[in-house]
Amino acid sequence: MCLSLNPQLGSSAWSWIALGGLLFPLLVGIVGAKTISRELEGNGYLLAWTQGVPRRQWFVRRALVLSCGTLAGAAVLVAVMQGWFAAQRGAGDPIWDGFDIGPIVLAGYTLFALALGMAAGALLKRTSPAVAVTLFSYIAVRVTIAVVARTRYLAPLQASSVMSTNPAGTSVTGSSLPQFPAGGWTTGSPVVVDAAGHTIAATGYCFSAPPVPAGCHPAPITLFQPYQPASRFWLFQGIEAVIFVGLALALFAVAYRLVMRAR
Amino acid sequence: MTAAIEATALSKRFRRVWALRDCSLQVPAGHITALVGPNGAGKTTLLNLAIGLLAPSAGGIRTLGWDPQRQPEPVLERVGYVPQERPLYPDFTVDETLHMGRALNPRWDEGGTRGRLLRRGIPLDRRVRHLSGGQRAQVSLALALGKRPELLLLDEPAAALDPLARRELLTELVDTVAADGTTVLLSSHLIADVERVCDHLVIISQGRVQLAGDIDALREEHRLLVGPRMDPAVAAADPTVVSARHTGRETALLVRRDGASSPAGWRSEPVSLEELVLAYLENPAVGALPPPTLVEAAS
Repeated sequence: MCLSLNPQLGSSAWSWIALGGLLFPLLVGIVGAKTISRELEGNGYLLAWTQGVPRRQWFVRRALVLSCGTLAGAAVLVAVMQGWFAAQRGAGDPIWDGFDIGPIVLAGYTLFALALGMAAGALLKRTSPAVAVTLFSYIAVRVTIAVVARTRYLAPLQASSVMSTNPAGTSVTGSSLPQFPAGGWTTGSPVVVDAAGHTIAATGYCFSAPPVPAGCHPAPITLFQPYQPASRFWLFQGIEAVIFVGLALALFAVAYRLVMRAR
Repeated sequence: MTAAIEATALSKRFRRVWALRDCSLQVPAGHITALVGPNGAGKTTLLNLAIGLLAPSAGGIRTLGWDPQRQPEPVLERVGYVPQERPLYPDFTVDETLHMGRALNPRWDEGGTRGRLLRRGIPLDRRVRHLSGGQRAQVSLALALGKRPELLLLDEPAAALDPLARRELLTELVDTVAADGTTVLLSSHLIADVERVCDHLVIISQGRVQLAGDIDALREEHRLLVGPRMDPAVAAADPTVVSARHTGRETALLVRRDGASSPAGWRSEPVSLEELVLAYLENPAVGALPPPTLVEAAS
């Protein structure tokens, strides 16, 4: 029995692996915070920064070695996760579910967490506060970008469906579920527009062919469902990765300046 | 005299406190110079500025002719520093510590460093955390000497060592310096140590240089004059008087008076280094040089 390659792996095991993908950057952030604060907290800097290698090189070497090391770790994790992911999901399953552990964004998150940790370590100079600030800031930034920014990288497409009634008002034609291509990601609640072009409440509405009773809207009504198609998945991975790599570079620069100025 | 360290109107401020103010001094190459002063006088700050751990707030410092901020490579390669805390990684073995020194220093002297530690009976496979204070001091010094430094900075090298360890450390230091012509600047509270190993002296007090020079020359310039009691105000007004002690019938003055003969009725005695240093430390206002005017250096 070979558990590690079992495609029938239970969903709970799958969740653990996905959790690993989410938590890996946090681990990297802790490493980043410790690598700087450990020296600044005690007097290790007196040793490290008075050797023949100048401080600039000391920092750049650390940043490079840790970047390469953690990216390699992320790559291994991605390979494992993608293997399982491919085995687990069917052809029509929504690709977007795996966005947060996608291979491209994970590289961005990893670098971002590392740079954040190093900047926090250089700023606070003490390990425990630096680790706490790193974890908190990482989660805050990730959640903010996932919730606020991600749906807006490109204007969503609109799937629509039309509903109407027969003249007697006894039966409804059409569908209340706008259809969009498989694998799309709905990025908001549907917008409902009546025949007069007014946007109406999306739930508990009433519509009717003329004569329209009071409190009802003229039929037909159109439901618009915003969604991001599956074809945009890799573009969105790229955009989000660029954002996080950009943040990482800015934080590396901050950490570098703080280290060069420290003491 | 070529200067291994040359400070010009060097000042360093930490937030609102001046740790060093308008310090101008030269540390002569090829000599062992003592840096003496009360706690908080700015000794460690000066050493940290010399190796570039700190940047000056004003003025300038050149170490072996380089600016330690702008040209850190040549300075860090050639200057060995043993901070007062003697920082070492406690989880490293001595061997691993030497490996670090080899990896981080281009001029590393592996054989000499190993031999030095083995001669002192320091077990290379032991973790630093399990070494005694004296052994740790030896490892710190060995790490600094392993760089084959042209300049060695030592902050309180003998502090917290028992007399035997202290003697070994100072012996090691003097031997190395004599063999290689290394310049040494060491800060110390222990005048006996200074007297044994140093030939130059810099006294700093309240962030300023109070006195600097060759120890033998300084001792010749200073005399202890003992005579009939004089008016304390007159003694205090004399710029050549470093310190004055008045008893009921006698006054003892420690004066800086080059070659002048003692006044009639006064007994002139040579001063010990300890008396000299204490006289200055007790009177921090004496000898504080006026702030020098900064002249554009012609290179």
